[in-house]
Amino acid sequence: MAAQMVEAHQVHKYFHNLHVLRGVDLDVKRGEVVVILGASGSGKTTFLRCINHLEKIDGGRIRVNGHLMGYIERSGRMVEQKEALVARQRAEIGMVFQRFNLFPHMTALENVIEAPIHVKGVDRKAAGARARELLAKVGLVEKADVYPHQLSGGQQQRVAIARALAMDPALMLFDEPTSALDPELVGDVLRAMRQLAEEGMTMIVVTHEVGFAREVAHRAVLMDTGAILEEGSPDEFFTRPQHPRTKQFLSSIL
Amino acid sequence: MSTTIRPAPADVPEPELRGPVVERDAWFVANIVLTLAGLLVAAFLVYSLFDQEPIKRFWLAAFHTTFPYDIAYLKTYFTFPQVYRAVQVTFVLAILAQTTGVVLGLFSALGRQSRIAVLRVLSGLYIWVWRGTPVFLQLVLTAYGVPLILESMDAGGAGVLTKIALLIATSSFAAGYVALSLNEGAYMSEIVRAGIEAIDRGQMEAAKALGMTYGLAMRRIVLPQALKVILPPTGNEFISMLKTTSLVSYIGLQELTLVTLQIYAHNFKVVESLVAAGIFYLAMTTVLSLIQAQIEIRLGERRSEVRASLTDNLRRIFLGAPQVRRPATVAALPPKEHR
Repeated sequence: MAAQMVEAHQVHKYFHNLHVLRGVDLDVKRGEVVVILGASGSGKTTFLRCINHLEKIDGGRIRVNGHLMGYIERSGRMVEQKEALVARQRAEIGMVFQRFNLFPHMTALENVIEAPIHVKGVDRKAAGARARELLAKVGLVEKADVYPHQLSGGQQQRVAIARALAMDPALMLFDEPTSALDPELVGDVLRAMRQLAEEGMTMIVVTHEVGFAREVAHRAVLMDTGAILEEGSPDEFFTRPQHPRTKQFLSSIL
Repeated sequence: MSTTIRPAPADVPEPELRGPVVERDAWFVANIVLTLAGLLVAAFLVYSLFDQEPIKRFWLAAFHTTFPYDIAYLKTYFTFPQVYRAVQVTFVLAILAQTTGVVLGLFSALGRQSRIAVLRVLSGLYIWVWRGTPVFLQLVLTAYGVPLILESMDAGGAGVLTKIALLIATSSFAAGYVALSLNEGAYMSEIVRAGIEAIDRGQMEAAKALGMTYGLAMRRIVLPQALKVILPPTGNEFISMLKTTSLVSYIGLQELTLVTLQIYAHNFKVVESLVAAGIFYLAMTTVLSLIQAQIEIRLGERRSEVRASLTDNLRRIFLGAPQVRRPATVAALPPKEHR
C-alpha cells in the first residue's frame, strides 16, 4: 500500500492552444484532507478532473494509490489505458460535482445503489441496506424514495455524497460542492464532509469555503494560472501567506 | 376627472373567479356558423350512405348533371375481405419497418459518436445517403436492383447472397421491409442523436466517475432519459411510416393502396374506392395519434398527476393545443371613469 494516495508530478494540460495546467505537483497522503483554492480559471477544477481521468493529461504523471491513473507507461511513452480499466480505477475514486449530477430518473436510493449493483456486482438487497446506512449518515434516510427534483440543492448534494461513498472509495474528490447552493443550505453539506474527514477519508476539495478549509483541512493549496503557487497548513496559509498573489486572493474572498 | 366616492380598500369584494373570457368578436360568430355548416354537410353525407335521393336531387339542381357517384358503395368497400388483409399487411409492415428503423437509428446515432473513426464515417455515410435520396428510388432499387447486384457477386450461384437475392426478388414484403427500415433508420438516427444531446453532459460524467463504462452509462443513465425526448418524434415517424407503406404498392405488395387500385380497375368506381382507402388510412393514423398523445401526456405529466382524457386528446388533435384567453389586461386597468 502506497503511503501517498495521490502523487501528481509536473501535470500539463492544454485545451486546444490554451495551456491550463502548467506543471502541477501535488502529493496527498493517505487520510489527508487537502483544500485547493484559487480564482476561477486557475485550473483547480481541471486538475481535479485529471485526477480521475475525466480529463486526459498532456504531460506529467498522476498516480493514485501507487498506480498510474488512466495511462500505462510503455518505453517512456504514456499510452491511454483501455476504457474498462480506467473505469475500474475510477470506481475507487469518489467524485462530488458542483451541480450534483444526480440521475433524475431514479430515486435517491436508486441513485446510491446504481453503481454498486451494476459496476461492482453487489446484490440489490445488500446494496439497498448499505445505501440506507449512507443516506442516514448524511441525514436523508427519510428521503430514500424521493426523486432528485423533489429535493433541495443541499439535500441533492448530500445524496450525491452518499452515492459516491457507496462505492467505498479510497479517495474523494469534491469539485466546489457548495458553490451552487443557497447560503442557508451550505452548512448541512459541509457537516457531512467534515464527518467524512474525521473518519479518515482522503479528500481533495476545491472550494471557496474558508471556514471549512481552516477547520477541517490538513493542508491548503493555492493554484494560480495553472500551477501551485503556495501551500501550507491552513493556519499558516490563512494567517501568514507568503506569496503576494495569495495575499491578494485571500483578501478578495475574506 | 370626476370625484367619486370610492369604497375603502377593505370593502372591495374579491373578484369572482370565472372561467376564461371568450371575446365575442366577428370570429366568434364565424366559428359557430362554420362549425354548424360543416356538421350539416357531414351529416348530409353520412345520411347519403343510406339514402342517396336527396344528394342526387341537390346535385342535379346545383350542377345540372346527374350525380355520378355511388356513396352507398363505401359500405360495400369496407366489406371486401382483401381490403382487410391489405390493412393487416400495411399495419404489420409499418410496425416492423419502424421498429427496425428505431434500432438502426440507435446504432447509427451511437456510431456517429464513436471513438472508432471507421464507425463514425460509416454511420455518417449511411445517414447522408439514405436521407439524401428519395425513398421511392431506394425502394425500387432494393426490389429490382439489389437482387441483380447480389447475384452477380455470388460466383458459385448457390451461396447465401443468392438466397437473399431470391428472397428480395420474390417477396415484395421483404424488399419493402428492407428499404423502408433502412430509410427510417437514417431519420431515426438524427432523432436519437438529438435526444442524447439533450441530456446534460454531467450525467455521463457522474456515471463515469462512479466507474461505469461508456456503454453501461449510456444504457443505464443517458438513454433512459433521452427516451423522453426521442419518443414524441418517433410517434410522428410511425404515423408517417404507415402512409409511406403505400409506395410499396409499386413493387407489387398487396397492401391497402394496391388492393384499392385493383378494386377500381374491376368496378370502375375510382373516386369512391380511393376515398374509402383514404378513410381507412385516416382511421389508422387517428388511432395512432391518440395513442401517441396519450403516451406523451403520461410521460410529460407523470409528476403533476394530471391525466388527459380521450376527449382532451381528440380536441388536441383536431383543434390544436388549447389557447385560453385570460382577462388579465382587463382586470389590470382601472375602471374607465378614473382614467
